[in-house]
Amino acid sequence: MTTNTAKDEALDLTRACELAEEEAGTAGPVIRVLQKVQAHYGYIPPEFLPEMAEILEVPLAKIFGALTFYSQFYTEPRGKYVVRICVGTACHVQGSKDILDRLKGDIGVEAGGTTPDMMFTLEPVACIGSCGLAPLCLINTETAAHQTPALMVEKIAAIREKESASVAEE
Amino acid sequence: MTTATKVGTITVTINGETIGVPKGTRIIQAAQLLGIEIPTFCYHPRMRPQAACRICTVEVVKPMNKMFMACATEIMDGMEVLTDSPRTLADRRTNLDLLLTQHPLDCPVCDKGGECKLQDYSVKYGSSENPFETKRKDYPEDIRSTVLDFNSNRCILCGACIQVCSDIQQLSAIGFSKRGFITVVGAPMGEPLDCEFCGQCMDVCPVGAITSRFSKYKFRPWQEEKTQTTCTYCGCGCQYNLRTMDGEVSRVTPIEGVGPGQGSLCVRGHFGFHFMEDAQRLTKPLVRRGDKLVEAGWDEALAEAAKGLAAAKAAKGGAGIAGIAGGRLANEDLYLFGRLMRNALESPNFDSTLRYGYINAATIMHKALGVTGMMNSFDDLRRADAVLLVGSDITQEAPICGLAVKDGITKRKMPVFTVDSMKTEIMKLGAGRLVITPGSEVAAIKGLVKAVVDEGLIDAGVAAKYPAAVAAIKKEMAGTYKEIETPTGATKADLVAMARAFANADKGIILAGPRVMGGLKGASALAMLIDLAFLTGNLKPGAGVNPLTGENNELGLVLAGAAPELLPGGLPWSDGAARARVEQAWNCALPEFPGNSLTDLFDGMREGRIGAAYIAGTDPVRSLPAELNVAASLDALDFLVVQDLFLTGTALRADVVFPAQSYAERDGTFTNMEGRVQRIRQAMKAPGKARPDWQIFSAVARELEVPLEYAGTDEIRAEAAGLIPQFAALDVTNAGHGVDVTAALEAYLAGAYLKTMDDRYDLPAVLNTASPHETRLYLADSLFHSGQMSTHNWGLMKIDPADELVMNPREARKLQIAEGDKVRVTSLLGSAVVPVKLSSHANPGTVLFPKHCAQSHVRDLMGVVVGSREEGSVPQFRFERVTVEKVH
Repeated sequence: MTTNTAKDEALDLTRACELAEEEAGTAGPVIRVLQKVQAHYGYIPPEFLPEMAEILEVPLAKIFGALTFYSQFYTEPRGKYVVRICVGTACHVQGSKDILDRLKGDIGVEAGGTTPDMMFTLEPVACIGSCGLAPLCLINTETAAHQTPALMVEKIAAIREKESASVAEE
Repeated sequence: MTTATKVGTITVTINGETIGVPKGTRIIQAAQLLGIEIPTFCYHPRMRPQAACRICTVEVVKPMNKMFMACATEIMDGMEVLTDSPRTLADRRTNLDLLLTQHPLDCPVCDKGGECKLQDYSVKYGSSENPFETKRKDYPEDIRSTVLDFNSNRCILCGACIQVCSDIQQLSAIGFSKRGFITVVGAPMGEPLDCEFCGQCMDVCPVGAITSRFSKYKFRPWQEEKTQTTCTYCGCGCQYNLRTMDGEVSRVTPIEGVGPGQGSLCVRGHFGFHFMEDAQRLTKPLVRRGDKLVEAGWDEALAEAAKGLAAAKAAKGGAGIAGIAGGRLANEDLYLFGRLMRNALESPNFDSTLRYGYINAATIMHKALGVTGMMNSFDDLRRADAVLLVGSDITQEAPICGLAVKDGITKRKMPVFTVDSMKTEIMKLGAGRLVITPGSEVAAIKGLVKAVVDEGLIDAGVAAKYPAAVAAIKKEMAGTYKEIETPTGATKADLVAMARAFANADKGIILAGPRVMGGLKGASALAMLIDLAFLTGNLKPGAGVNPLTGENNELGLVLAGAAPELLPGGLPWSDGAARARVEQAWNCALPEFPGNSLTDLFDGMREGRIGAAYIAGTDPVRSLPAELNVAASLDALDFLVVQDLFLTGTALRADVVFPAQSYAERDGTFTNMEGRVQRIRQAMKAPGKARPDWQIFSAVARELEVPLEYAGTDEIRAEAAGLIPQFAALDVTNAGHGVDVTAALEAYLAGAYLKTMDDRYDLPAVLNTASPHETRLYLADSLFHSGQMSTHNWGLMKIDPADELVMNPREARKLQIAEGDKVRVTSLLGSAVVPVKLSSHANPGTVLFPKHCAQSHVRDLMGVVVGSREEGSVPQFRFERVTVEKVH
């Protein structure tokens, strides 16, 4: 996932419109366009939806229905790093709740929240599907198997360090 | 066990009764045939089954033992079903128990109380002890839209409303959002609902989740009286129940499966029920005293009217009197008006709103095919293989006919091809579209005929059987595509593709809208479409050419002969035998020559040839542009009688004004565009002393000592049926009458066809080339309004005040014009300032203004060109070139 964390700038929807145009006329384009737009922007800007409806000639109500049905879609900007903690049965048994609680404190957001600097989003997920690796976490697309609260805090700290170094370089 | 009734190929036994049904029949349909009721929430007979609500569960005992959804399960041969077994009843009870854990028990204040399925089924199948814990929702009611309120707490999430909006109305203005317990139904993005407001979502809602603000808390279903009647707004002629409480209209409800709409209604029909009770209705006759109109008794007003008309006749002869009728009037009124004019007043000058365009349909359809109105029914449209729609924004102009087309699209993927100068809603659903330059319809139609000829798409049977006629058309197609591409903006490739697709369909139906018949070559344009149907082998049952009407009883105008070139029955005045029949029936001599058409009549008034006029059910002062000098023409008359519901711009100039009754206050019939003659019935009392139009005509005749006396509308129709056979049977479409197109065609091809070919395919000059203004202004029809009656509805005016100029959003952005900004529209004839509405309905380079709206004087910017006599003498004023500038 490429993320675009520029929250304050007026959002340029050109790429989103291009992505919709690429799918216009194909069968069942709605989910694909939503996924691609989210992959580009990190979320689905609501102001894009009427344009999407116009381009695809799909009623807005149908798009909005699909968007709000699936929890994979987000309508608000998310952090550069989305930290997912699996709270499915196997991970729960292996102590994932402790990891989640620890990270809430460490990152400083509630479950589902995003830090004000748009760096981290913390998100409990029901099951990632790799129960053999429990407790399992994901940082964007990178998996972190057999985690503990301490290990995850270390990883978060490493990211913070890397990010502040790159800011200093600039 | 009863014996099997064999009506199909497989049998099913429900509750011990056996019936034979066609393959593909579902359990619920078979149960219906047996008169067995199965409860449903989400099921609707005109939509595909959703099987969402699960209340229709039934026990199948053979060939397997299992619970099935009756709405969605197709019958297998020998199937045995129980709809009231203990297991079924237990499942139903659980279903209701679960629904009632959420559904609030606010029935005493719910409009649905008394006709609520959840209420009824709870009484019938429910229990008083709900084993489940209740969990109520607590959403605020969404009352932000102008008419439809959404109460999500009452919603049982069956989805019927969403389905009717997506499958029947094809708008998808509402949908589900979110998931699970917190799912809600409504407009997307959390916005207030802003749609066509047909109200069908409310009609199919089994509970009280969607209600009408116009009727809220104003009725209890068991206290209402209901009267089945015919809608008065457009030529679709939908049937509905007009419901009243204590003499006042409470609401309009559809009648499932009945009439042209089969239970669908549009916004005008559903919510335009306030005009009858409008405070501005005329309640007493008015007579002129100096420059004032004062109230008078009927005797006084009738005597004065007769005196004025008789004086004009004495001074100038019968031809010195003009009669002008509108399509609001019922069949019986129109027949009697015609008889009053032609028989009692001996005037040939009887014209009507047919002159705005439909006159061309009346003459050409009869001349070419012997048909009055449509060749096909709405049912044919639902079953066609392809539809070609030319010059009509059908979903606005004839919304329910539009639904018949949409039905074919949803259920059978019927390809619909559109040719129009506006980007219409139906185009989005169609298989192909040509968006052409305004006013170039004739050229575009010629292009399609040319493509059929050039590409060898002529039906083989037609080519073999009618070589002379085919050759005559072929000869006219010698020109190049250039002469079609230039005025229309359509390319050869587009035209060929559309012609090919349409020609390849077995049963192709052509629909012609007001921009076909109402153009300067309206008669030729329709004749070309008949040629197109002829060449493609589509002049046969189930296929054909169909002119669409505007006013509700436009076909009634034709059948009454409400045009100088027509006789009762819609026959041409030139038909000597038909004239003789009328003379015999009326026991009079008809005037010798055909009279003047509308614009000639106005000229005649100013020139002193016409001394008196009788205008009923139409307001030419506010429906025609200033350039026609209608007001000055009426002012020049010695005497003017006006008969209407309101004190119109025309009535203000009258010497005598008669208050008429609306369709809801009297009996009679309207003829819809399919040719169905359908009843209107009295549902309420008329205001004050208003009388039905036919009684007024009859009373005027009595004063003129030419008695035209009838006990009621049935008696008038019985007499009229001698001249107008269509009046003999009610509720039969032209197609149902079995119009013999082939025989009519043979007769036409043998005679008039080849002789009239000469200038049919000559393209008309482009309109208004002298104007330096470049933007094209078009007076468009509105879904929400049709004029006098609709604009006197406070409800419809709230939904759509409709005095806005519609502009293309991209173009407006270039001119830095935003929604709601005021703009000055300037033509050669002047300018007007109006607010702007942005919509992609208008193409770049074109702006639209609602045709019915007279307040903003945009109509007076329109230049008028009157078509030739051969082309129906139609005053063409719907296109003009203008400049649009922002007013700062």
